[in-house]
Amino acid sequence: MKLSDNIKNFDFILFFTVIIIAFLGIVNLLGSLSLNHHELLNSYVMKQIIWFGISFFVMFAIISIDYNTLIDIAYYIYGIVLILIIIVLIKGKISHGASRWISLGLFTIQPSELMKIALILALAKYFTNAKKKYYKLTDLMIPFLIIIIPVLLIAKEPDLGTSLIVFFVGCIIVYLAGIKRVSMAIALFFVMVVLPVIWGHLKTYQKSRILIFLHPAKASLGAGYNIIQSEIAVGAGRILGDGFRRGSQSVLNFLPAKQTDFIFSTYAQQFGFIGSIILIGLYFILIIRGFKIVYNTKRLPAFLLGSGALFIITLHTVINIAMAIGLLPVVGVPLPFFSYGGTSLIVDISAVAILLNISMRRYKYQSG
Amino acid sequence: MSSAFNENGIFNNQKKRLNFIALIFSVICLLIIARIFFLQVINGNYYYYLAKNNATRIMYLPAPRGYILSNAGKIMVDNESSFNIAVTIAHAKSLKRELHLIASMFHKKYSRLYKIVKKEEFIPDYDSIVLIRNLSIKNLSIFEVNKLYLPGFFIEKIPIRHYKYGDMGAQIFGYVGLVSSEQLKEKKYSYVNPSDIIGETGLEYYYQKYLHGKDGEKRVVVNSFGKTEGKVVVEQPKMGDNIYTTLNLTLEKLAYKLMKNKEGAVIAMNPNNGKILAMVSTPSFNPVYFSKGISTKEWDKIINNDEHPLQNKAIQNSMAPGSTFKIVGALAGLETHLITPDKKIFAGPTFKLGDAVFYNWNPNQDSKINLYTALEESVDTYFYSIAVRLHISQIAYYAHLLGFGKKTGVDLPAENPGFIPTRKLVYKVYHRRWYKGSTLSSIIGQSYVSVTPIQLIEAYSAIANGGYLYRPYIVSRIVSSSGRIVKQIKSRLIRRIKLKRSYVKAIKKGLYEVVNGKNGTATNGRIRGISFCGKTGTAQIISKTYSIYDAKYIPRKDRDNAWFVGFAPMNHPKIAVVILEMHAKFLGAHAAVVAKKIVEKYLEQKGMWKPSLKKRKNNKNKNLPSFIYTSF
Repeated sequence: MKLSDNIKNFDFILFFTVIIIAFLGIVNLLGSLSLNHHELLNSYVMKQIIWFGISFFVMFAIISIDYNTLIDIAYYIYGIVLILIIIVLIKGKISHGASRWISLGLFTIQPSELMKIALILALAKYFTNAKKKYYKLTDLMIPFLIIIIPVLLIAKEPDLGTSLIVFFVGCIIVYLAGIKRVSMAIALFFVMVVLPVIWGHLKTYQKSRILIFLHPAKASLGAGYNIIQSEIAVGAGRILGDGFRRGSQSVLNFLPAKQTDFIFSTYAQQFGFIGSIILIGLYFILIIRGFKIVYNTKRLPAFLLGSGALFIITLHTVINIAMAIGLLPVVGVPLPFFSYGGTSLIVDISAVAILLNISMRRYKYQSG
Repeated sequence: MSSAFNENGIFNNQKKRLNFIALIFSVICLLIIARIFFLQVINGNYYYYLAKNNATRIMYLPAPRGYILSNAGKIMVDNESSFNIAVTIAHAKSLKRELHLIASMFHKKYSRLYKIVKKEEFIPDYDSIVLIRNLSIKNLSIFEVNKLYLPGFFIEKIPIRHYKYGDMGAQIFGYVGLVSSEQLKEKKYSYVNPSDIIGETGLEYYYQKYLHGKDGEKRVVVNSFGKTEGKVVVEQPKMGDNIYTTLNLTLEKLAYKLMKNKEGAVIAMNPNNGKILAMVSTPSFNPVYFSKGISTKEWDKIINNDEHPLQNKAIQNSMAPGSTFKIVGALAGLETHLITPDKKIFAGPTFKLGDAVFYNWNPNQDSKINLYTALEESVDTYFYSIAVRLHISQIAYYAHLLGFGKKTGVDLPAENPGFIPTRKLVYKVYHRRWYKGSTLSSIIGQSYVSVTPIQLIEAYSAIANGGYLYRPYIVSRIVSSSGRIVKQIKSRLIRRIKLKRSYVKAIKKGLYEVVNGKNGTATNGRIRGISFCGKTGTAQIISKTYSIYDAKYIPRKDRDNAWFVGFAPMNHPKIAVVILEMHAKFLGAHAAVVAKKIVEKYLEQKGMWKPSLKKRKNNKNKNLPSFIYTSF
């Protein structure tokens, strides 16, 4: 297969959709700055632009390597990320009451975020090797461990959002790989039984977030403040929005986590319902393109890996927006290419890169 | 490359599962769009309002209240500045050091100042804390000199109400106070902001809407830490409207001087239109205590005073009118043809009704008299013989015609409607049966009959002007601070009472004799060259009877109330006056002297009367050339 064929099969629509969303993301980040922040170079915006540079480098790196090669070394990647998570746990930098980061001088990375990619690679490798049509529960002991070990470790950091994403993405791959319906029913029942136990192990703030999601008005100044301020920001945008840098909720810092978890609210107040629909439309194009790539692939490793990548992006998008508008409890999940944060950007870009990688090489294995 | 995964059977099944997940996400996607539509399109304005509210802090700048002026435009109530030392913590350099400096400069305790500041530690940077209130001019200059050493500290100028004549007219002007949280909820105070001053009583209350003005606003956009962002927008306050009263300052001052050490009330009124020329209620209080923040000690003193300084007795105090009520009996007798002005009726020292005996106040009365004498000498038994042939409802009818038993509608709050008895009303209010004897007591203004001074002057004015019952009023116009007339208040005729001219003339003649007759009860009220008419009244306030009534030996609270109400001149009346002296040492005759002095002063002002030569010689005013006097 020649390079020119790869370029010919490159999904430009998917790529440019990501570019447009990323561009909007930078604009939005600029619009979120407090009025008296004039030192642009120190701001989030410059850092994020640098992160975009790095992540596009990562993207082309991933695209240039055949995804089969990635699957071949999947266990090593998985192992390294798992070790990094353990290191973070042992001597993580304390920040926001959570130890999630490893410092790399100028930047910090979050190994738990990287686990999302490592996990889908590892599961793709396992199921490629297993070669079964249907799986019973007993067949699934190893994938279960592959999923549950990082999920528990990440939850321990504590990073409930990432932990849940890893768990859901893992489950989706197991489901797509072919778990038996009976086995699935048993697994679901088991989850139901375990839930109360998990509830008992949650941190107080995690519990209160869930409780507050159920009764937000009861605690408008406590933790429920977040949800209420976020809803005010979204609603205040009305149809046309308050305009660029005129989103009072973010500019005046009423909105917590205005550049990460509640970045959508920042955007929605500035650009209104029209802007929100345009942004959701862009994500819709992105996901539909991803879906098409996965659906059209003829090989199981590509199908599973692609699905994993697709659902990382999809879950991020859906959970982040649903949380900002009060449809889900507050969990730390980034909005792909929009939220400030290097590692999550690299993860989402990597997921896109995997989809592009599969798309480019779809004829290679068909003919071969 | 061929493997088991290429088998279509396996793959179709997996793609089905993928479709299923896609379906679930599509539904979630629709939910998200629906929710955003709800937030931004349906409820957008609500959230927009919440967001603006989140970010904007409004501080109200109180508007200076309008002035209260006399009929000649003399300011009686205005505002003065009170100076406070305040501090904006965010602008202070070294707060503790500066507080020490302030403490030593103004002889305050550092710990106390520190406590005040500490309490407001988290106050936002646009707001300030008042440290010292009501700074003296001397301290003001001390502060100004040392201002450089006190960054963040500044002088805050606050308008407070200033009552130029102190205690005089306090109940008429009323006082102001900080609006309460209950008042803020009332609809009529919708324009009032928290921490505003509003009128609580008197004119301050009645004309609050006009006096208040429009508060200014200082709008600041703040972030979630309370730090100011961007510009401060200031909307200057607009001063309230000025209230021009009908009060004649000279008369008001005189009336207050005459009543100062007594308990009672005085009203002087123009009988031809209801304009109140003077209104006084004593003892009084200084309303400035309320605008400066009254101390508990002062408050207790006012509240525990059994002479009720806060009460405006001229309109709020309803009591037995005594003999002043006899004009109602005279009118009823004439109108029902029981008497004629000239027909003489026997009036003895007592009047018997069944077993009951009703006494005349003067035990020496024992002759046939006409209406003039009956009024002149205030003969009770003459009126008993009218009352015995009348039904109480007939007396009530004529009382109501003259405005008794109903609020006059004067533009002051909390007016008392008084009480005019009828059988039904007494049963309803007191659950008592009516006895004929009560009709007899009623005609001489005792028993259940109860009137306010302002009702008396309203009724006597109607007699004086030939039957026009005017609503008394005290504010004639309201003028905005820019000079625009906001409201012009005209006199209001309540009703034209159809009275036979001869009857009115007869009653007026009788009232003339009271002051000017040989045996009149108010002869010491005579005014040289002026036909001053009036009626005295003595109202017993207790049922206790003293064998010999001598005020000197009776405890103050048991003493009778003394009334005098009158007008002058008889034919073209210019002024009506009512005097109430409660628990008086001297009775109605003395009250007449007070009335006389007020009438003299007014007529002198109008050029209708001059003080006597003898008096003028004593006048120490040397500025006027003496030949003017010699021409009289």
